Amino acid sequence: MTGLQIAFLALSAVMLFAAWKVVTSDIIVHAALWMVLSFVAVAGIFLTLHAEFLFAVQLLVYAGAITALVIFAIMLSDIRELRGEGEPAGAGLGRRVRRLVSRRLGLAPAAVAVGFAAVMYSVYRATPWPGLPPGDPAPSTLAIGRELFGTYVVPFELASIVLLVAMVGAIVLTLREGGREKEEKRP
Amino acid sequence: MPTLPIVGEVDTAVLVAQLIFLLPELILAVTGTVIVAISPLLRGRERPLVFVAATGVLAAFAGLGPSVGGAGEVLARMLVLDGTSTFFRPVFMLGALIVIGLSPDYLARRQVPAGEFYALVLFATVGIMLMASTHELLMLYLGLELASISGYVLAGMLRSDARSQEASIKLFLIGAMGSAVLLFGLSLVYGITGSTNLVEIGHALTGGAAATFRPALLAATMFLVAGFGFKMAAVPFHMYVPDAYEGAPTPVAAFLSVGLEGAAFAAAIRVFVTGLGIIQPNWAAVFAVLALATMTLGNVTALLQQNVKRMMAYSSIAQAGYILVGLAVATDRGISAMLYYVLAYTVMNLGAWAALIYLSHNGQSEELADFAGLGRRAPLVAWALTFCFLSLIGIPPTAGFFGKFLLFSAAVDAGLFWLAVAMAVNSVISLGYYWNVVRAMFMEEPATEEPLKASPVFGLGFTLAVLGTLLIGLGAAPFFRLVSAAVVTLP
Amino acid sequence: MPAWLVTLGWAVLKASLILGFVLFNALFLVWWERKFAARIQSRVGPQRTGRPFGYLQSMADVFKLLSKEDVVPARVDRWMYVLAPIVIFVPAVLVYVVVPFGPNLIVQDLNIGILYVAAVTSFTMIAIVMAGWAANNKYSVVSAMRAAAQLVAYEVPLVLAVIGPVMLAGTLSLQGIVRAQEGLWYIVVQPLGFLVFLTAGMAELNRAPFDLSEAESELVAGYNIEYSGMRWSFFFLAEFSNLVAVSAIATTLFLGGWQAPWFLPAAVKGLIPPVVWFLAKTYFLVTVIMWIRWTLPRVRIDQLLDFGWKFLLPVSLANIALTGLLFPVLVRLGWI
Repeated sequence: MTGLQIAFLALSAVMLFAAWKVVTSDIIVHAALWMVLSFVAVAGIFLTLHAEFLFAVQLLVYAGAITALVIFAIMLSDIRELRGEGEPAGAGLGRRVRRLVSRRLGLAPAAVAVGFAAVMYSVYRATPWPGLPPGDPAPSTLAIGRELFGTYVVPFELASIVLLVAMVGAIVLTLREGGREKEEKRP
Repeated sequence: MPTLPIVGEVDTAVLVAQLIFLLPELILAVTGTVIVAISPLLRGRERPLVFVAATGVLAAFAGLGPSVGGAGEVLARMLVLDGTSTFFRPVFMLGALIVIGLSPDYLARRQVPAGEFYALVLFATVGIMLMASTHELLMLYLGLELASISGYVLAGMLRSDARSQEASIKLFLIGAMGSAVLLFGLSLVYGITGSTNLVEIGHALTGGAAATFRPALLAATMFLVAGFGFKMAAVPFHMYVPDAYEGAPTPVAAFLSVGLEGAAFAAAIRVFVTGLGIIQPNWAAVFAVLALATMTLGNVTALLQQNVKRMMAYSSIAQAGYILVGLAVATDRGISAMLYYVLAYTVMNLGAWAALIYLSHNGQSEELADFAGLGRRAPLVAWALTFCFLSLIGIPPTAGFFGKFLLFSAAVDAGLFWLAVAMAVNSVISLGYYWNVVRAMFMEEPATEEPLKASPVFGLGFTLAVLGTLLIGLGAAPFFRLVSAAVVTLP
Repeated sequence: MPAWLVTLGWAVLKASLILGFVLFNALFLVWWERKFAARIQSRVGPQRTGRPFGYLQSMADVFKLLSKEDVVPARVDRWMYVLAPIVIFVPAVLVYVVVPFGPNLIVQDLNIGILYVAAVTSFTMIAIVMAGWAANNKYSVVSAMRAAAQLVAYEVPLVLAVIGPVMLAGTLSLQGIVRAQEGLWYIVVQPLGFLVFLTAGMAELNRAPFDLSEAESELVAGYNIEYSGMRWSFFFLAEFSNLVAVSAIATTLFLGGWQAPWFLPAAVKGLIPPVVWFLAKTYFLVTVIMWIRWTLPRVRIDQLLDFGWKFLLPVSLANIALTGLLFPVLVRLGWI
C-alpha cells in the first residue's frame, strides 16, 4: 500500500465518521462543525489526487461559504433546539429504546446505510474499472480556466442564471410584507 | 471587429456565431431578467408585465427560426439540433405561454408578486428547454436545477399560506434528493465511459464494453431511473407530488405538472435511448413496471379525492404512467408516441388546470362542491373543462385519444400486451373521477347564481389550451409526421 | 542522508521559521500598537519595562499570560472550547506558506496561491463561531453571530478585489503576481481594487472601525470573553498574525511585493535587498491600518452590513468590469 492510498483511506474514514456525526449529533451546532470536518476531509482527498484547484474551491466554497450560511440559519432558529433540548426526555432504557426506533438515529436508517454501502461495495468490486478518464489526470488551474471559458462557457453562463434564480427566490420568499414599498425603519 | 481569440480548443468566433441557435433561450432569459429589473419600479401595478412575458415567449418562438432544420451539435457540443429538440422546444414554450396567460387574475387575487412569478416561469422554461436539447450531461443537470429551483420558489410564493410553504419545502427536499440520486448515477456513467456527452457515452459502451462494466452500469441505471422518477412523479417516487401541487399556487402546479415532468421525460429519452441504448432490455423492463404502478396507483387514488386540485395531482401522476409506456416500449414507435403524448398532455392538462385557476381567482376553493352548478354559472368554462377531461380519459377525437392510441399500438407492437391492457383498464378507472366533476358541474345545484368573471388574457390562455387539444386531435396527421421525423434522428 | 529526511528537515525548518515569525511579529506589534496609539492620543505609552521606550513590555505580557491559571468555566461546550483557539491559530499560520517574502524566500509557491489564501482564511469565521458558541455566554454568542455576518459580507468584496491583479498578471500564484509588477505596481492601475481590498481586509480583521464583534461597550469583550491565559493569547496571536497577513497580501497584490519601486534606477534598486522592501511596505500598511483604527469611531452593525453589501460589493464588481475594459488599453500603453 502506498502512502497515497493510506492517506486516501484515512481521509475517507474521517469523512465518513464526520458525516455520521452530522446526522447523529443532538446539538445542531456540533452537526454543523462535523460537516466542516467532512468537507475538509473531502478537500484532503482532492489534494491526494493532485486536484489543487478543487481542493481550494472545496475549502473556500464548502468549508467557508456554505458553512457560514448554515451557521446563519442555525443562529436564526429557536435556541431550545440548538441546545438539543427538543430530544426525547427520560433516561435509561426508555430513552435507549426510543433512540433505536428514531427515524434519525435508529436501526432503520443504519440498516439502509449499511445495505447501500454493501451493494455499492460489491458493485465497485465486480466492475473492472477503466483506467483514468482520458485527458490530463491533474489539469492545471490554467487548463481548467481555459476549459471553463472555452468548451464549457455555455454551461458556465447557465450556472449564473441558476444563481440569479436562487437570489431572486431568496428575496421573494423572505421579503417582509409591505417591504416592497418602503424599507423597514431602523432604530 | 477585432478577431476573437481561441480559448482552449474552442474557436470563440464560431461559438459567438453559433449563439444564434440559442436565441430562444437567450430571449427568454433576457426577458426574465428585464422583468425582475423593472418590476420594483412598477410599485405594485404589475399587471402589464404579463404582456412583457408573453411577448418574450412569442419572440422566443420567432428565435427558433435559425434552429429549425438544423442537425448536429453546436456551441462546443453543448446544444444539439435534431428532430427531438426541434419538437420539444416549441412545446415547452407553448406550455409556458399558456401558463402565463392563465395567471394574471390569480396572481392579483392571491397577491403573488407577479414580476418574480413571470420571471421565474421564463427561467424555468429556459431550463426545461435546455434539458430537452442537449447531449451534454452538465447542461442537462444545470437545466434541471434551473427548472427545479425556479419550481421550489414558485411553489412557495403564497407567502401567507402555510400549505404553500409546505409545498415549497417538500419540493425542495425531495427535489434535492432526486437530483443527488441522479447525479450519483451520472457520475457512475462518467466513471465507466470517461465522457459527459451522451453520444460519446453511447459509443464508449459498444463493442462489449457494456458487458464488461455491467455491474456498475446496472447500478447507474438504477440511480438514473430513481432520479428521473422523482422528477417525472413516477410511483414510488411520487409521494411529494399531491401535497406539493395542492399547496402551490394553482398556475404553478399546472406549470410544474406539464413543464418539469415533460422535461424529465425529454431528458430521460436522451439519457436512456442515446446514452444507454445498448442495455435497453434492462431499463425498459424497469420502466414497464414503473408505468404500470404509476398509472394504476395514480388513477385509483384520484378516485378517492374530494379536493379537485389533489385529484388533478393524482391525475398528473396517472398521465405520467401512460407516458412512461413509451420508455417501456423503447422502440422508435414508442418514443414518437411518447413525444406526441407529451404535446397532447401539455395542452389538455393545462386546459383542465385552467378551470381550477378560474375558480380560485373568483374566490372559490378547489373542493368538489365548488364545481356544483358550474355548467349554469359559466357554461363555456364547464364545457371546455369537460372537453379537456374527455381528452385526458382518451375519448376520440381529442388529442389525448390519439396519444393513447399511439402508445397503445406501440405497446402491442412490442409485445407488451399486459401493459396495453393495463392502459385500457386504467382509462376506464379514470372515467370515474373525471365524471364526478362533470356530474357536479351539470347535475348539481349551485350554491349561488352569481356569475363568474375572467379577464381577456385568461380567456386567450384558456382558448389556446382547449383549441390546442382540439386541433392536435382533429388534425393529428401533421403532428404524427412531426414526431416520427423527430424520432428518426435519434441515433 | 535519505531524500525523505531532507524533505522532512526542510519542512520542519520552514514551519519553525513561520512560527517564529508569527510569534516575534506579535511581540513587536503589541509594543508598536501601544506606542503608536499613545502617540495618536498624545500619551507616551509603555516606557517602564525596558527603558526608555518600553521595548520589553511585550515580554512581560507574555510571562504574565503564561503564568496565569488555566480556567475552563463550568458548563462550557468543552471540546469546542478547547479546539477554538487552535482552529483560529492554524489558518493564521498557514497563510504564510504562500507569502513571497523575497524572490526565493517563499515556503511553497502554489499555482493556486491567492485562492489558497482565501480558502485558508475562511476558517477564521468557523473558529470565531466555535469560540462564541462554546463559551455558553450570551455576549459571546451575539459577538460570534455578528462576526459571522460581517465576515460573510466582506469576504465577497475581498475576493472580488483580488481578481483585478489576477486578471492583470494572468496567474493565481503570488510570486507570479509580484514578478508581473516589475514595470509598474498594480496600485497605479488598480486604485479602486486596492481601497476595496484594504477596507474589506480591515473588516475581516475585526478591527476598528469594524470591530463590532468586540464592541466592549455593548458586548463586554466579544467572542473570546470566557477565555483567559494561554488560550486567550492564541486569539491574540492570530489577530496580529492576520493583521500582518492582510498587509502582506495587499503588498503582494498591489504594492509590488518585494520589488523595489519601478521608477528607481537599477543601481539604486540593487542597494536594498528585496525582503527589506517587502517588510517595509507590509509594516507600513500595518501602521496605516492601526492609524485608521485609532482615529475613526466604530460604525453601527446595520451601517457595517449596508456598507459591505450595498457599496463595497458593487464597487468591487465595477472594478472587475473596468479592469476588463481597460485591459487592452493598458496592454497598448505597455503598462502591463
